Amino acid sequence: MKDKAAQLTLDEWDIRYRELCRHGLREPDYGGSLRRHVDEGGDRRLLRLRMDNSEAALRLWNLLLSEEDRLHRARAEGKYLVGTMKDLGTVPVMAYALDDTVAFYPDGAWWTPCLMEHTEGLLALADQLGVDDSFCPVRAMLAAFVNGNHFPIPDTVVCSVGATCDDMSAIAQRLDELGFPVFWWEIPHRRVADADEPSVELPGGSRVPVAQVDFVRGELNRVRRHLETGTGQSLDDARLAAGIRRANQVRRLLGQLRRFAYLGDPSPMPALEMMIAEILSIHFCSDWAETVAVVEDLLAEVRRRLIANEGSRPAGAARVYWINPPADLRLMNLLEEAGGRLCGTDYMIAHALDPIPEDMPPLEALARMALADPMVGSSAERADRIAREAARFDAEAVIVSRISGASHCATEGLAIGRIVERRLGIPVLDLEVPPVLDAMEPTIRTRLEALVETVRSGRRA
Amino acid sequence: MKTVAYCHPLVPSEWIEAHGLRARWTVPRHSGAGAICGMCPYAQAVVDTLAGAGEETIAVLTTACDQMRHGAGLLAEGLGDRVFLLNVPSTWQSPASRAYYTEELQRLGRWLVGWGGRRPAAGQLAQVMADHDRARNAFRHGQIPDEPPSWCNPVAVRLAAEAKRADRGGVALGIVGGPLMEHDLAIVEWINAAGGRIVLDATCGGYRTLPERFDPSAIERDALAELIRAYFDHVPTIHQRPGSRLHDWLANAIREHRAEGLLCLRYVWCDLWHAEVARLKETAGVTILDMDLGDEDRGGEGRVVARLEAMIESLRKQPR
Ligand code: SF4
Ligand code: SF4
Repeated sequence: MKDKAAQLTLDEWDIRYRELCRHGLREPDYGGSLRRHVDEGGDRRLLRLRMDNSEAALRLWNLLLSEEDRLHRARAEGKYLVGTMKDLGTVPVMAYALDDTVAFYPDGAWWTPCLMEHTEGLLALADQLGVDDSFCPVRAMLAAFVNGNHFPIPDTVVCSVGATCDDMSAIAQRLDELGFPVFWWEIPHRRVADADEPSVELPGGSRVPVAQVDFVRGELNRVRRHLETGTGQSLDDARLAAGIRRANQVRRLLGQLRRFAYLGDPSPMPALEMMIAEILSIHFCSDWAETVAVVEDLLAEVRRRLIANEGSRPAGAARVYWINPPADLRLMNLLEEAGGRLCGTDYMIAHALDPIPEDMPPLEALARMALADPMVGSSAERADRIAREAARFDAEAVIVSRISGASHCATEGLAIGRIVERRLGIPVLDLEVPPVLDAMEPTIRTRLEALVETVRSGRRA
Repeated sequence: MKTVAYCHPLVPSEWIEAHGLRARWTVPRHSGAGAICGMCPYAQAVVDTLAGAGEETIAVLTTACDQMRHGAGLLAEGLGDRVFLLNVPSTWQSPASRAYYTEELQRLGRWLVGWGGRRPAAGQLAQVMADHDRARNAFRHGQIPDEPPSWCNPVAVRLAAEAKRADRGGVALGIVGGPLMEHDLAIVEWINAAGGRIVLDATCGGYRTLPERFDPSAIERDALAELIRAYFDHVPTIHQRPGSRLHDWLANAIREHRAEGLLCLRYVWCDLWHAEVARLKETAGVTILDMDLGDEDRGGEGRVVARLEAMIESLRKQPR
């Protein structure tokens, strides 16, 4: 049943869901009404969100919000659970190449206080554990490990350190001390090769010294051995190559989806659903096959809307390039309500969207991918890529979504803002929101409207 | 001759001086420009200070924490190639990390040569290492150098001098945390006034982060390898993963120096020290006073003194 694109409240989705069912909606086993995530799962934030009305979006939301159930089922089935932290997109490619192995990011608890509007008490528990709000919301993960009320405790925890945020390094260390042993692997700060030093190109376009790739390849080999020991399986190159091909299938689909969604006008898929879709790339929401199916559905819906020249908001909205995930999902709705739309993003996972090279030994390819992480290089390099992509997607403004307490946010906004303004001459808005932004909503709305107005007056000039 | 400013204990001063350049642990000051919200005051002071340093100064910062890593990026916007970012691995248990640190020191060497240094001639590194080792050893044994040394945070040396001068007995305390700045020296007086004394400086750049003593025969065999052993294999820092090395060192040092309490001086927004306080309380075996201070608070408020007095008072009442 196809209807014109719209964004619905949860009440409106209830009606829509009943209609879809009457018309013979077919859903995967994790399907169902969105309402149940509030009633049974406590995801109260849905009551304040506006969600896309497509069947594809319904499937996307259900995939996302059923992940904890899926992980508990995997545990019950005796699968090997890998809690992978910080690398955002590398270790899961390796883990999913093994049989009966499921990798997930406990870091995902980042959004739990938002989704459950603090009713779950994770941040309060993190405070008690000595990790207060001078840390980013990833501190919710520490509490989720300790109270065990969310994801199942993984069989192993694998965390990248080195050129990572202090928040994660410090919290993962705390986890280790609290009895959740961490397997550490090193990702060094990505640097520019010296003049006479051999270098290679990474997915995404930057170049690094061969020596850095060699080092990371060695580190990933340690991860490989660790996973082999844990699962009792061999993770040979053939298996890894198959894992890379599977990851690339998702990445290519997402690449197409981003291109269509960010270039189409009116915007054929809202910001919130696009953000969730992009984030599927890092560990496939614990189900690779369903991730493929969900993204294919979204892509089909976006194609249909592009052909019908249809979007949930009018054409001509201010084109905004978005940096960093917002602590409160509602912010993405507010952008659109203020007259803006997404035209590109860097949610710190650009390396999980770029296809992984398939024409080289798999560990070499994964090492190159890990080093392409925008967060392991300098803010200037990250800004450079952002400026290139923002220009390609005709951005008219940039929003740096500052994450409260994040060690990189104090300075990166400054650096990125300066570089983007200099290169593109478009306005940059630095915006920080807490996990539940309700108290600040009027102020945020005003700031977003002011940004949109600046864009519009720039068009008139 | 260029001065090479640095502020992390895994930057070996010997390596810089063996290249014929002057090494100096930078003692940062704020420029007076506004604080960047969310930035560690120490990292910001380092950036402010080095940004204003003359052409004769070049700087080596490290990747040991994200704040300093990004601080180096900010600094490089103004200073360009005059800033070198040394990758110091967080992991320390694998031979690959050690090898990576070695490669990084070699890369640092090439950069130093690019700034007028010269490749160390045979025996030159060994000579500097022997000199520093002697001086450090004397310092370890209570001898205060006449001049601020190049091999540690000069504020730590002044702290040792002040602590010695002001020592009138009392409750024995250790201090631990990030690197000290000039105005932190006030802590000696406060501790003293409250009836305590400093017996252990475990701040970054002080006694804790001095490298292990060099083995002369190992220096003779391969000076650089010995330098790396003494630094990489032994200096306990807050950024290392796993973090057990720091806790083991502290527990030993507290026993050895008979510290009855530990004062953790940590900079606001420093996640690394902040998260470790809870563990310190478990491993140190003594009372810990956690001081989460913004830079502006570090100059000396009554609040700090009152907390110190309360700690020392309660330690005094404990059976010894
Ligand atoms: S939001 Fe930033 S600081 Fe927090 S875990 Fe992610 S990368 Fe680290
Ligand atoms: S005090 Fe902490 S945040 Fe500041 S420079 Fe040192 S380790 Fe980094």
